Amino acid sequence: MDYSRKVQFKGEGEGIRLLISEDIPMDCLHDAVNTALDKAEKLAIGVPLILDFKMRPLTQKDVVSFLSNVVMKRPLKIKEWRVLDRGGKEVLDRMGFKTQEGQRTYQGKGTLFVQRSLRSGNTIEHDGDVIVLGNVNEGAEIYATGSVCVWGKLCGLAHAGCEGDDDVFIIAGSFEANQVRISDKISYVQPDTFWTGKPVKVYVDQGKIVVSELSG
Amino acid sequence: MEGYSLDTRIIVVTSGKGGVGKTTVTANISAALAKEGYSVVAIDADIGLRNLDVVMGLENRIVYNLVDVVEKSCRLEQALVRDKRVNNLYLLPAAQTRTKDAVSPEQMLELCESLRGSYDFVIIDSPAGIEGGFRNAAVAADEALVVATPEVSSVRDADRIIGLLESDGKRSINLIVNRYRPQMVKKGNMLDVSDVSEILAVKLLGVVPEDEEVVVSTNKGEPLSLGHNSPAARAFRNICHRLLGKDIPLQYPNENEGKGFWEGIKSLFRL
Repeated sequence: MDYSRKVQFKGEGEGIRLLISEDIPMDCLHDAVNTALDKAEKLAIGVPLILDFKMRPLTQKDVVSFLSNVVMKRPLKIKEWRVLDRGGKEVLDRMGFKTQEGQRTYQGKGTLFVQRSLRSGNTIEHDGDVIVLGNVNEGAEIYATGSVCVWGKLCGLAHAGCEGDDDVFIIAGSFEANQVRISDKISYVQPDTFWTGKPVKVYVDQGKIVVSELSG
Repeated sequence: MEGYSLDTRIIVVTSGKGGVGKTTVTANISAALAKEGYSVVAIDADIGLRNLDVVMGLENRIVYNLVDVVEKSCRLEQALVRDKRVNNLYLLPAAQTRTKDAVSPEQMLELCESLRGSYDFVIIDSPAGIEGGFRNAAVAADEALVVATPEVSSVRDADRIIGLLESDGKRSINLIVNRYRPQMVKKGNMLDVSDVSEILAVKLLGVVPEDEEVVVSTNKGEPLSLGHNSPAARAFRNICHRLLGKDIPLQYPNENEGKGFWEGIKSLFRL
């Protein structure tokens, strides 16, 4: 089976990002990427390339094998290696490859899907990310070691990275909270601010909680 | 008579917050249902702070109370106070000299089960709060009427109560918005019905406007739904009909409702 279609090229900054799907079986990985690179002909040659393995768990053997069977076969200019799997990132770091700095890795902790609205008095505590497919009403609370995503209105309290992780975020479909917390930082929100009622992303930048509007 | 259910519907009237009109709603819904020909027992579960007897005008006829019944000091039929103004309306009053700890959820369950099958409706007036008193009032109920006023604090407490009722597995939870003031809503000083309804996300059974007649009727011990024609009386009767499954369109009180004739004319010309 030809898995080369599951290898995609995307422009990023001054280079090209090679998105390698986790759906490609490990024993077909080299053929798939080689075929995709051959099809791209000179497009990928000499251009800074980001190899993105997404969620694929990589071992040292996999990386060595990929180097000898794919990378060394043509004059590729690898700018960066990316993988969301924590173990894979550790392998790449240990082998001295340049990986994305500050990249949030998937921690292997399950994402909690809450398929209802949280009412006043409801509390969710979860070791990982929390996704609420509803509203978080005033008086409801979410404490997550990871990120928090609320599809509906966020009126209650969301505390992302509650065990000290700054590299997380809070997303709300409609931001109506009067307080948000990320890691050990607290931000008080005045009523009827610019962000009220808008879809936003809340995250930490240079040690401060910042809010940005989510656009299309 | 038609429309009678073979099963007794046990409904708790609750809110979380105090002072939003649970007792007034209980008295008026009970009276309206009885006026429609259904047999109704109104239970005052606010032990230690009884009020339903006063609002229903039955305070001078109380001999036994709810605590006497659960402690087997009297039979249930002895404690039920019959309303003489309308057939089939009974009150089981609360004890004023005891506390909420005097009744356990098991006792309350047993009491309500003994009423099941003998009456069409059992309407339970819950105390404010989310502690034992509320638990006792709600334990036997199949359905809940949550009363909220269009205030942020009331809506938040109602939301908390709805969460507790849902986790208790109540199959039907309906909302009544009480003491609604269209003038204040228009000025942006009060939550709109749609805001309340959207936050609480349960079926809206009716909107009762702020009405001076409610205070008068409470002091007189005559539930409005027994025969008055004020805006609140009409709202209570509509709620009763919706509770019975009739398709009555929701009516939102307008600015002039509750005002006298000349005040209405003045408002019309912005005087």
